[in-house]
Amino acid sequence: MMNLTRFSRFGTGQCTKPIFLFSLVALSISLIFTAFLLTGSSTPSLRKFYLIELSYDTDTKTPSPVIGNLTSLISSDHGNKTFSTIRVGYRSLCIDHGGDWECARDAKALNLTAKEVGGDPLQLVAVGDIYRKRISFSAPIWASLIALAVAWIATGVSCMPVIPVHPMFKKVAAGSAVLATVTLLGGMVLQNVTS
Amino acid sequence: MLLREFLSFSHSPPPPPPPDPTSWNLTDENYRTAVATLVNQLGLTAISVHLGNMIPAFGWTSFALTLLSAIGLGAVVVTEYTLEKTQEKITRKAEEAVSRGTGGRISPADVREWKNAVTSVNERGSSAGSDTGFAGRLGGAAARGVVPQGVSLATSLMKKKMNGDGRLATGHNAV
Repeated sequence: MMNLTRFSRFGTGQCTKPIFLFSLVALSISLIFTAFLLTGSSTPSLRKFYLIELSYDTDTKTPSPVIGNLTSLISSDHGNKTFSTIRVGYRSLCIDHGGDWECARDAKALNLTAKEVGGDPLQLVAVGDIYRKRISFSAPIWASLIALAVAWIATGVSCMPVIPVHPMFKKVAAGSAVLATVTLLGGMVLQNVTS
Repeated sequence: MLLREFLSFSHSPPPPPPPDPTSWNLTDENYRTAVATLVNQLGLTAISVHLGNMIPAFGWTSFALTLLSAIGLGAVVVTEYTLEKTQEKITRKAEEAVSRGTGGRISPADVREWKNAVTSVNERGSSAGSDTGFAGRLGGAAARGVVPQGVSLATSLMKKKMNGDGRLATGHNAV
């Protein structure tokens, strides 16, 4: 008679090894991608990872006198630099002035820069900061990042070839992966709703 | 010419006087209209808003990969749990069947003890270098020390169930 316990301990190990390896690779990629979500707009090199982008429309063909006055307000009086765009991420803000990007977690530093390079008449930095603080909600993404890290560690331990591993690690890996999936889904749906 | 100009001037309505700011009726409705107009002009034409593409793309990709790994890991855990429970159920049924078949002389606890003894011998043998199971080790060099030990354990267990005349006290032929 086939011993099912022996099969579950050793026989399925041969079958589940590719699944564990695939899961380890997938969890590694997910971990990196989720880290990119949270660290977006924190440095100029990560400026493409943003939630929303607010920019002054400085098109000179606009006939409205309001826009004309606005254009003259935000046009640069300080060299060729013009503050035109602000990008909002989960943790920080980036502004563009004449092709140079500057990122900071604090809106105060960006306010100084905005004033230096040509003013911020409609307070876009403040609007972006309010969006980052009060509208975008990054807690589910943080929770999914932690759950992904736990799942990655447990899966990696379960993949060790020689060392006998307690079966609890597999259960921890599966539970953490499910938790990460649910929280990541919640975070993405919330991000879609708020932006 | 002068007469025509005079006539045209006399027939055209006089231009409206400039409004006196002190006489404006600044009701709430006027405020709302003015502010709404200003906000519409500013909001629709002065500020452009773009949504980021990279965060949704990376986020949904990460979600899909996590979902796949969760499905795989969950399937493994559920399969192993089902196998373990099935094995336990089969073992319990077998122990009960042996106990019924021997008329209660070999209890389920005895069967369990015998099984544990054989399992421990098997596991010691597998740690000696072979992982092909008990039957697979029968011809191996390491099995020469393991098999007699397992047989002796089984023999001693069976001897416990012998009667005084050396016959096995099992089944319906038991005296």
